[in-house]
Amino acid sequence: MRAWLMISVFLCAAPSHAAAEISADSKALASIEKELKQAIAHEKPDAAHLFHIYRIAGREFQAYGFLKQARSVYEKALAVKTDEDPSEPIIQLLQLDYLEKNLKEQKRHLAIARARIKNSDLLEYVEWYEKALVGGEKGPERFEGGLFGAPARWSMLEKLMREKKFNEAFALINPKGVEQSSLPHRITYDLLNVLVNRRKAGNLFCADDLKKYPDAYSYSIRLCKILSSYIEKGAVDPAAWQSLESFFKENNESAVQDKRYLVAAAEELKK
Amino acid sequence: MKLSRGKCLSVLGVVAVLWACNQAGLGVGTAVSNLASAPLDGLRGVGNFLTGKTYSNYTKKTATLRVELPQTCTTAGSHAGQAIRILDPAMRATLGSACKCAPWGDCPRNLCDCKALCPDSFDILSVHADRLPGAPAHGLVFQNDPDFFAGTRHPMVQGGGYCWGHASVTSKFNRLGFFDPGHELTAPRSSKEWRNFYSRVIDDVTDNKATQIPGFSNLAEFSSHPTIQEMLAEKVAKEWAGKAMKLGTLGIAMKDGQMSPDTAQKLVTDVAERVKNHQAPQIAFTFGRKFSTHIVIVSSVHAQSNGSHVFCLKDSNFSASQNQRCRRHIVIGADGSASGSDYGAIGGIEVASNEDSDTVAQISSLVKRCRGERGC
Repeated sequence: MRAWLMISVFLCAAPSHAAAEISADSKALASIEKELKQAIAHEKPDAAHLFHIYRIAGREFQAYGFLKQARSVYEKALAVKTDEDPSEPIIQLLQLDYLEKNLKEQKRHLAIARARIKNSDLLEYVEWYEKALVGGEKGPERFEGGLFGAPARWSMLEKLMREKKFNEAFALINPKGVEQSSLPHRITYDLLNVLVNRRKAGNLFCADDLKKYPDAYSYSIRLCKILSSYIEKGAVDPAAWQSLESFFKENNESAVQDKRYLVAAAEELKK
Repeated sequence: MKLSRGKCLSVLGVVAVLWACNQAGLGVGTAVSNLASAPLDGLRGVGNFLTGKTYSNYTKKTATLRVELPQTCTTAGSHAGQAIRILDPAMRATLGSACKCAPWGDCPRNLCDCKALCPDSFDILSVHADRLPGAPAHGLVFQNDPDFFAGTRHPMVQGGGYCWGHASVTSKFNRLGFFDPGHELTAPRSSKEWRNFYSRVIDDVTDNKATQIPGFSNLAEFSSHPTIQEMLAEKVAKEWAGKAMKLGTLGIAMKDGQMSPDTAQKLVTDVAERVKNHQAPQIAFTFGRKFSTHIVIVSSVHAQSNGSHVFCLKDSNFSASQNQRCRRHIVIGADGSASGSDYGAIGGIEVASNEDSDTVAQISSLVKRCRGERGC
């Protein structure tokens, strides 16, 4: 009976592991929560079984986009006293920590990972995660390339900019690798270029976009205007600055607010 | 992928039968239990077990529908209501006035079954099958940027980028974006309202929904606009994080050794089928060492006389022109060896773990749109 439930719960939840983004749906949430409660109440599972129920429920919650619930059941899975392999909830929690930028939980889960994961390949990933994404007092320490290279470097770049270490941040970027990048990446380079070289910054990578779309509702274009006029006149244009600040006031989503460090850095040009 | 509870329950029913037949408690239960507990391979297998089954169902359904509903052509004139095979000389003569009784066709309902117009199969993906992944118009105007961070220039040694996110966003827009250049929003392009609208468009497409995109002709034009490009760049990073850091992904990232001949053959067959079925699939491969993993889109597959196969690629690390005419490619030998135009010796290659579930979700959305448009 226990194995039967394990299979049934497992198969019900299994596709969610490989599922991509699924729209949040309050009925789906209620359904998963109900199924979870019933599985525990009716089966009265032993520790190992309970661990797997929580683990599989975590997959389903996460696949449907219910990240808070996924986090909760993954934590419950880890709290169960059992010898079952805890790798999945730990790795998934680390993913959620990264997505949600939860530094405190990252450190806690890394400690758990080091203590409880036995698979050597996964431990290698954990080591990379720790050194590349979290790092020590100086921030990320490890810069490998490949699949996981980008977030480590962006994390370091952002940290240096927040600490106003603009020369160090600028030195991280390869100017030959900027031209084909997205506008947000190009404007980051342009900003650092002007912060370091001031009016001697030369051509801006955002210039063509600014010329073609001068009125675009975009923080990159508004920042480009500031940089362009700074190079020309040696001062930050007040109207352009007001326009940049307005963009950040008008758009509350985290994707925009996470870029406020660019505004803070650009403010140095006023000095 | 929206997995309805109904589908879940039907799977339970299947499992109940299997389990009931297995009185010894071995076989099904043990195998699945092993899948549930193994950290890497088992989880990948788990993810594919049910999602793969659903994808496999579409393979069977597609084959069935193609046999049941051969492409026919029906005229609305004197042959109204009479299905005539398209190769019929009489049909050819009247081809100009014929409607199309085929996926996304324009025959009215009284002449053509909804199953033919809006098949719940891979053929629903044919609506945008002409969008070749490597073509400039059908790519993001910005590249993945592996060279953004300083150091020696090598495609993947230094920074790496958000290749999985870039490939995923490209693929989704190509399959699901219904560009409509003839219509503009009333809100000015410099307004917050305009931005808000396209923010929802981007969210919908990356949520695997067939979506109307007014004001633009194709993905390149769409991604050129600064307001849009900012949001797309953010979405590329987010799509990456949602895929690359999952436990199920780590399996391929660890596979730096050569594939077996059998594995290679299965891969080639799988990818070729997907391309044939209007999907330009994303593949993940590891080269050089663990974690040195890249994701690209396969646009075509070609058999060579020596038994090897060539995957022509759309590689986000290169420009549109550098992706033309199969300049970016991987050659897979019959012995399992693999090498590429750019990455040296390649170890493991797999169809990206998101392909099955994304494709199933996309089919569902496209069928819904097609049927809505045609009154099915």
